Amino acid sequence: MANEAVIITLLGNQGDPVEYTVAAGTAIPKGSIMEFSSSPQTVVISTADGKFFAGIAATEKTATDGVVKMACLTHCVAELKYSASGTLGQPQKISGVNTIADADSDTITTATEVVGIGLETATTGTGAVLINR
Amino acid sequence: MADEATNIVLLGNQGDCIEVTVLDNAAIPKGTLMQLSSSPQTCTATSGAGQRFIGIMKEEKKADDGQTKVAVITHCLADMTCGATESMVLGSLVKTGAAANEVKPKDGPDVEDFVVGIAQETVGANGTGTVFINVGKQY
Repeated sequence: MANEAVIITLLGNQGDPVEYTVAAGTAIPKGSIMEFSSSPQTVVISTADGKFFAGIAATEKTATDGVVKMACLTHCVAELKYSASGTLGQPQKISGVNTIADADSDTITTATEVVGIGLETATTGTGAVLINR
Repeated sequence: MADEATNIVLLGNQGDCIEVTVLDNAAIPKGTLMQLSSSPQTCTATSGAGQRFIGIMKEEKKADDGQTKVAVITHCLADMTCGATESMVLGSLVKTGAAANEVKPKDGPDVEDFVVGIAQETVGANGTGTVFINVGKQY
């Protein structure tokens, strides 16, 4: 994979990690943007616009480690990759695999799509985002 | 300045402070409501309605003290002041008001209508009431 988040600052209680279920046979790099995939509390690496953000993978998971539970950080400042323009101060949403972009009004109405608030202006590079799930 | 936030009760990990950049020549009192003014992570005191609120000044900064990084509190309870023609209602969202450090009701779901926090009490024009602040939380 590529474009995983780089954690800058853990906020809350060590980043307020939440435990989620993941598929045993999948490899998940540390820093992956995770989205909800199925009930209950099951997450996968982000795929596309319109998905519900769960958190940032706190550790690496290999495909053969048998692990089915993973901690995801829900409160931190992290450097994330933009697929399109990111605006200073504006809420950001998932736009693809480990990428984000400016949220729109529909996203804000469906607030669980929001990844965090952009702390800098970015185009297709990386930028700091305040995440508070 | 006037109307800085007072009676700040830190939540999370000591208020979940984040570091932001400010101008060296700016004098910024403790408790000032701060907004993102330019990229990257650069802030000034709030000065108008619906600005990009990012937190509350944790400590005072004097002008020309050589300091360009300050900590802002992003998770707390704080007493804030409504504008001259504004009020806040228990349980409703507030955004930055027309003047520095003031707040007013958030009036729409627009992206460009940034939330300061949730009013914990109902107060009228020029009144001061407690607001729950958790920057980045989507309500």
